[in-house]
Amino acid sequence: MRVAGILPLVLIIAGCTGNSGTPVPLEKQHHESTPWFRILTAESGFDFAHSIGDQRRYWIPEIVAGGVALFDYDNDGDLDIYCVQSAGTLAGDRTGTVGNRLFRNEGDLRFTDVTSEANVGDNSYGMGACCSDYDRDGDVDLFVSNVGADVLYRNRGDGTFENITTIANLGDPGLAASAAFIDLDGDRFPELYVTHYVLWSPEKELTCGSGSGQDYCSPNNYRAPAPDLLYRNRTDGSFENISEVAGIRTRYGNGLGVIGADLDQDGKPDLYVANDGSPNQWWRNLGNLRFEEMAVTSGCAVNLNGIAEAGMGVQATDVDEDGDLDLFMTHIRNETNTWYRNDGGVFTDATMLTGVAATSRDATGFGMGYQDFDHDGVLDLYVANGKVLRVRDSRDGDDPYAEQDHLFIGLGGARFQEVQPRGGLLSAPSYTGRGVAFGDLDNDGDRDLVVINSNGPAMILVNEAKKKGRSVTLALVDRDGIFAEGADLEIHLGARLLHRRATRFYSYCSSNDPRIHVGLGSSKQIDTIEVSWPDGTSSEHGPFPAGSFGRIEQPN
Amino acid sequence: MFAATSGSGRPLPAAESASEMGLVRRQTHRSGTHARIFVGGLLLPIALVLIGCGPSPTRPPARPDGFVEPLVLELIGPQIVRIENQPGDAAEHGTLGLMYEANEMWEAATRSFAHAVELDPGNPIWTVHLHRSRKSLGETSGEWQRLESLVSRFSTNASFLYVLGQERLQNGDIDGAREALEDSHRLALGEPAVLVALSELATLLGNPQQALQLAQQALLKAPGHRSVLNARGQALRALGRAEDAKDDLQKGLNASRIPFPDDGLRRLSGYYAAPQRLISHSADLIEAGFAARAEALLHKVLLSRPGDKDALNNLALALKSMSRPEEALTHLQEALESDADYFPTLINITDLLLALQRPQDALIHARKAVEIDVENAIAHRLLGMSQIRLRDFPVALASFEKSLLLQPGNFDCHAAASEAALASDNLGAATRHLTEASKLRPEFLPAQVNLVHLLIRQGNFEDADLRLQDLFRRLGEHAEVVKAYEALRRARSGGGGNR
Repeated sequence: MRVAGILPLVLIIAGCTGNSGTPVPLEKQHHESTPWFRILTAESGFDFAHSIGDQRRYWIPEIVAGGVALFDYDNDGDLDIYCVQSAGTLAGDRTGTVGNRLFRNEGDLRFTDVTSEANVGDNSYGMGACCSDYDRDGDVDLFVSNVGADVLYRNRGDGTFENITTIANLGDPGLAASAAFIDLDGDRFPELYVTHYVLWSPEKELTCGSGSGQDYCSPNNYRAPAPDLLYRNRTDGSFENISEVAGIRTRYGNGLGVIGADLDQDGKPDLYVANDGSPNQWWRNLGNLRFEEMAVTSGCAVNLNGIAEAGMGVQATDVDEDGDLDLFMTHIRNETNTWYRNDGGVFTDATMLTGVAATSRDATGFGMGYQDFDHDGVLDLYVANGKVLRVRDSRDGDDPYAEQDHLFIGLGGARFQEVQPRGGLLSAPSYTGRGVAFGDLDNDGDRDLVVINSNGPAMILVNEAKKKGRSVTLALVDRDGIFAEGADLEIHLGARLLHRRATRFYSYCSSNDPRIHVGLGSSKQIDTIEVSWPDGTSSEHGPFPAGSFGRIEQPN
Repeated sequence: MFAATSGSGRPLPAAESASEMGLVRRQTHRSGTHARIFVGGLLLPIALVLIGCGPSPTRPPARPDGFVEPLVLELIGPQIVRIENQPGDAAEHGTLGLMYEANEMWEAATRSFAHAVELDPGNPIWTVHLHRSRKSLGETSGEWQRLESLVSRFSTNASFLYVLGQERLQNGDIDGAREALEDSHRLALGEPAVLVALSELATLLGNPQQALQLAQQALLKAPGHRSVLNARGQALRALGRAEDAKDDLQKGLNASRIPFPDDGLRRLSGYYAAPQRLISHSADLIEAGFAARAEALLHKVLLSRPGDKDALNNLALALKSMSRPEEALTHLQEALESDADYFPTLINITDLLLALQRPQDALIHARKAVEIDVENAIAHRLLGMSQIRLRDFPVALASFEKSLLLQPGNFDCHAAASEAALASDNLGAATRHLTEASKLRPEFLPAQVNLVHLLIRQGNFEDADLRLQDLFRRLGEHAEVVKAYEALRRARSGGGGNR
């Protein structure tokens, strides 16, 4: 065919195409790899399933409940699992329904339900759990936040717990969410901070929805943000509500997440609260259990656009390795998860520089955690996702709130890339993810995780990532042999200097393995670790060879 | 006060399923109208057969799955019929998409806009709204590529370039984002949405001086817009001017993003039909001063949902703002009949009864409100207002103080508490509350002057004098300030008190 004959054909083809221009090559958006995790089956003995109640009433607690705690309740050297159920009369007429459950770790990833014998089966409409040896008697106690009276279980040290809520002056009946035990006054007995979501009761429930019918309300529809609670540890086994005198009643929102961290590096641990749809709070510790709200002026209350996002999970970690603690929070769909870069106590929403913005925008994140899953020396990121609004039209049999979780591999310099297969799992299931707790469940030196799915089965994800190095795991204890919550570590790894904070409290409504876990990458050892202890003293330790499980004890 | 209730949930994200993306790609390329046919006769039929460019394309109307609110059905029904009659009309598909978008039905909106784009790929409005819907549905995988592939087509459309810039930013293409936003700015000089986006980008990239200039430009076109103030505040903070930034950041807190207006957005509010959407919109209208329009909308909701307590509450507020309080009261009473424990109704009816000078009736509802929500500062404040009107001053003071315990720093409450305290002869409490009130609003002269008089009354001449000096400095010889000064002079010459 002559050229003249061909040309019109080409033109016609071009004219009929829907697109024009050259497709732009994408920035490499996914990191393709073999699966990083496998789901432990129920044959392991772990068979917890969360339920929101006998029916979906579109009450707001239903869509935010679900937490988990990893702690060694029997001091046998491995992590046991406490799962929070949403039960009781609020859940409907379910007398006899089992509430929260405690699974004892038998080793080799086998678990036994010991709820009854341990006496920790609270049957309230549970939200979350956190742990601490609050009375410093050598065993870890358990606090459960509920819709209704919270519960404090004191560990008797014999495999059982005692409900001492009333004696301890706890048991507030509000809608509590995440909680944290942080020693705020340096007396080694941790205070307790409990976030509160909204001032709620069934009588105050609203009807919300869209053109497709009823759905959950936003917390701001209630116009009733609930003040959080700060309790001083009296050191005699009880607590005192100091919320007002401490100054934390001057501002509050719809609290869902809380962490303790020294954000301005003045030697005193601060509190940071992630609020849902209202500005976050940074309660800067002024000493003597007095606090001043700093988030608005320091740049970590709202995102770069000035929007108070729907804060759920939160963690403070030095992601960019510049020596101070940055903040990361999970948010609702159509909002990104947000990274606030800390520059000496002034924060900037630098999410757009991290590589997680676009992916996270498409999901509603709850529990999360930075962990070095593949031991390459760079922190990775796991986010449990699950919607709070239906979005799609209902179809029979589907959970309209289900989403897949996200796993991001750390690239260094606070940059991340999503891992495929999605969530690090071959055929990742879709559930309504809520609390996540991270820890080395099988003591093999890597980090596993437990995910609580709202109205669905909980999952233990066993780490099977291809490792790019070895790790070091360290238990950090004070002079009394008790976990040193809040200790700051400077870890010298060859030419690198990593900062870590010893804490159980991050993610959402959950409590994590307190041990420090460091991936070494190509390094053969951690050279030294400088520890700044909560009492203001410091010490140096090391070296720690790759693959070691160690213990750092505060020297006398 | 407990203004209008907004019943809708959060903005819904957008999604685009892989199958729909596939469906779009699988469409045969039927844009025959765009084909430039240079060859007549022989080659043309061959081309048409080969390419499949045939009759004008059509698309069926997108219908929602699952339950649809009756008012929404009433809205979309006729539009669906129009599309069935004209299935190749992109504008009709687009209009249906806007109807779905207005009512947050994102799946159906996405399908409608996708049809509109397929039928009229040269119209940027449908492309932009398809993007918005996909974002709201939350499945934007591939969306960036889609927008990038349309750059040459819409390179002169400011709205498209703005959206492209935002998408590039979220996907980490910072330079590309800046380029697209700058191009948008060149095409739509002074458009505040673009200036704000550029300002925020400059802050992110460590150019706060430039960020400040851009925010200032935006303020010229959108003075006082809170999201613009936020952008300026972010820049000021990044410049180390934290004190200057404070006011802007406070005002900009939670500000709605300033939109880039297009013809689609301008039409949206006309398509609100879902009851919760109408109720939310009525709240916006009332706050913006369009109470009459809100009233009309709310009557429409009540026809479909008689006794809806949210609608009745908002209707009452609309009527109150139009100085029709008795009618407003009727609707609130109806809301109470529907649900006697509904907290917003109790608050609103208390407030209204106080305005109608019926404190005894207000007291009943205020007590109920406090009973239901003992932690609510507004309820306690209203209870105090009821009690003070009934001259039960000590009890009113207690209510105000309870309110302030729950929500410190409320000027109105401190002011009212000071009056109750004064009337109870509790000068200490009166001084304390007036001091707080005057700190909260230093520009509010009555509080300042009343405090001076109170200090004089207590013989605290030194503090009174200091305050007067400050007032003279700030306000000169204002009549009230002079009066207070005379009172101090008389008190001093009368002897007594501290110096």
